Amino acid sequence: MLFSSLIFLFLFLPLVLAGYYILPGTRNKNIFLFLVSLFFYAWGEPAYILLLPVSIIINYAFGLLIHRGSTGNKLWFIVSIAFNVGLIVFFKYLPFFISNINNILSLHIPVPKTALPLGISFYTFKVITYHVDVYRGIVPPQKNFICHALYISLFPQLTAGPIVKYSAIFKQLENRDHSLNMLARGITKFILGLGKKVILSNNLALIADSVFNFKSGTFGALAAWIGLVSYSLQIYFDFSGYSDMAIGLCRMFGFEIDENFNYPYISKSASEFWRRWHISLGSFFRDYVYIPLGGSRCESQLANYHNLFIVWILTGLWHGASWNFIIWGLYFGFLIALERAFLLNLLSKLPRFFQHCYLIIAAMLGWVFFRTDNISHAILYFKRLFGAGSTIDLVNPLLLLHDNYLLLIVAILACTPLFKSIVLSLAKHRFFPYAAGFGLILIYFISIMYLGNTSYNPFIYFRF
Amino acid sequence: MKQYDINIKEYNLFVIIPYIVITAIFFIAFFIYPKQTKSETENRYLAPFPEIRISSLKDLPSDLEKYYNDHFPFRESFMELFSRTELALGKIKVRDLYISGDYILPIEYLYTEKDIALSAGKTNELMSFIQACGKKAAYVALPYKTYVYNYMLPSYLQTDYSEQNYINFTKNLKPSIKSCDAFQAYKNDSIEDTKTYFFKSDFHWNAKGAGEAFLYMIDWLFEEELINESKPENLKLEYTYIDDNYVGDLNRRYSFIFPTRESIPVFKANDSVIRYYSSYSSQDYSFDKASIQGEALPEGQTYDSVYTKNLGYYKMVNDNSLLDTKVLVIKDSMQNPMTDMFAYVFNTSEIVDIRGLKDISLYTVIENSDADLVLLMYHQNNITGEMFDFK
Repeated sequence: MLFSSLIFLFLFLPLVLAGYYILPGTRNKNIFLFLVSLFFYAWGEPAYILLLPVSIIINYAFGLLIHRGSTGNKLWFIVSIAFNVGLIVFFKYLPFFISNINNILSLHIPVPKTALPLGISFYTFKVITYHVDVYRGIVPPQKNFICHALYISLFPQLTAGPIVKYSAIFKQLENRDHSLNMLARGITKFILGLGKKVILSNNLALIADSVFNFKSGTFGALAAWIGLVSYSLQIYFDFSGYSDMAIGLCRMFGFEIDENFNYPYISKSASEFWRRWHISLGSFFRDYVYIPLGGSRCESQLANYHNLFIVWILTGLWHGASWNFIIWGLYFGFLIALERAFLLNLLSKLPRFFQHCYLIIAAMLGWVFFRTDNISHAILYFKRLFGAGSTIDLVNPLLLLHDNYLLLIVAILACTPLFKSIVLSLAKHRFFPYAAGFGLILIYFISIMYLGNTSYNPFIYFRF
Repeated sequence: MKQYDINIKEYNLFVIIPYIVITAIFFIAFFIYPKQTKSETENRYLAPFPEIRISSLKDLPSDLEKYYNDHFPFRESFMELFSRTELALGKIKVRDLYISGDYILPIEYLYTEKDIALSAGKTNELMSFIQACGKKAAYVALPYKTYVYNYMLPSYLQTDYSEQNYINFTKNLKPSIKSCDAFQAYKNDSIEDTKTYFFKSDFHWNAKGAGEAFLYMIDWLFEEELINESKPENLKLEYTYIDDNYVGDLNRRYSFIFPTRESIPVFKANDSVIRYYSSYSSQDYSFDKASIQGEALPEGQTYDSVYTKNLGYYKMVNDNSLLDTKVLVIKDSMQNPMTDMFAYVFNTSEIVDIRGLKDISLYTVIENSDADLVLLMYHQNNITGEMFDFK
């Protein structure tokens, strides 16, 4: 069930909100929210319906066993990490690893046909933050099973993040803010996220798909760049929009969690970009992989770069089990390594405009690996970008520009803090509440219009 | 209280209350809004409430979502609003069609050599069979709307795909198969004239546009000696006009927001008494063309109601025809306005649409037919796909 689906917006969420606010006391609210989250998971993942509850129970036990002061806690800690990492490896990476082993060594090991359980990359990472923080003594283990279960399964973040660290939220599990202001802020964030996803991202996807889906490469350079710009915008609004909806939903239930995107396209370097893009993932790898490996404080530069590349290979792999994602991760690792070595120094001497241009182009080129299906598709796309064109252009770039220039302009401006600055400058005016309320409802209504149209599926007979 | 505090309180109310009201309206409306079974805009049946079975439990969530989406309150209104918004934004391509003023144009696609070769191969097989049955055969390519109205599009959208498709298709046909480029019928006509040949909000042409192509085809059939009779002198077609709204099939995609008042020409053969046989096995006939026509909608006439339905088979016999030749036409829907034209000219006209042919194969129909001439008559972009599954 997507947050941007009609059934979620107008059936599931109203019932959940009503039930949640009717029930007295945080304990009852937590039980309700946990059960609702299990239902949410089962709706999207009927095949692995038991995986989440089993994971919750096992990890609850691990939490109690690994805290400081308990016998053999280090061993249990290792087992808990191995169990959770093992889950992801089994479901997400095993087929990929076996296929590659077969290709390289000409073997015929049967490749398991495991479907990827919904949200496994997100909730297992959440669990890992919990176990590590408990092991380090940063937080006490959660003895209340419902609170523990709710942390792992909380449906706003269950399937697509943000990856909320346990230490950032554990106090709110038992005591949180249910004020009108929190609810209003939640609705605001949710609707803005919905607008980003439905109005901007979904429409940008139509442009991007119209180019990227021509795997035969029958398009020219202009179409290739339009497709790439559109995809770069699409993926930002898709992911940040969904994160905003998740943050908004959490606020509706009294949880305050950190932002996950901070206008990444205004960055001036790849290093800065990754402090602004998918912040929860970046900070996870920083705090739980990079720093434990030694970070950039190892004695040798080689070790520092080694740690950097480990993190970026893992970041790429986390996004998907394919060489495209590994190359994408290494691409950013390489860029950041260059920036550390000398590039940042060089860039800082340039006017800001060129620094921004550098990052935007670098980020966009990285997205080619992200969007294309495989290496050969990526290579073909790069060729088209740089003028090794097709003799036939079946994508009409001028039509794409004519029909979508307004969308592209709005999307590009929305990547910057411009709209936010305008809103904040109006915030103290008397009419602000009415205007803001009206604006939000307009976004809500336009989103509903687009969603009401997404099931449009005409029977086309007339072609004949 | 500080101004800021007042604003925060007001902000909270102006966000929470409208959100709750709107959400509640849609929540309640879903349960009380009457459920439709069919979407007129999409011309399809809407998802029924799914059966709850143990064996298909894992599909239940997605089936329920489909049901909810299809029966979302005011869905048809939202589709109309979406169409209006897209058009108001000045887009040229909306809902996979091109818009030029109040003309709706289907998109031209360039088909691959591989797909074309496949259908040309099937055509070669069919034509060989026809000839083996002792009949003459020909392929007739009718004009595609966007090919005719290419000039209405911006220069960057104008293509020659329709012509390329025709060339690629005919070059894969055997040399013995004759092809008529009936889409050239308008080349000497003015733009003002050609604008009256197609319905604005429909995929199809009208009788006037069809008539020009029909006359072109008749001239060609005589030039190619596919008809062994003397050519009628000064063959002309006269039209009458129906004064009614016309509900174009492409207008349906936009929830009928385009104007529906269009000129509806029809051809009626004068002094002809045509016997209409509305199915293959039928020995009974009617003098009333309504037996092979569709019904008009309350909103107005349709292509089916003005001309003919896409029946699998029907036959017309006209003892007062201009020629004694008997013809069998394998057609798509573009042939429909020509029905009475065929009956006017040919003694017997058998019209076959393979999509509607049930319980009998096309090859059997051809074998059993006493037609002298068999025409494969499709529009120039209908050159791939299921319309070539002749067997």
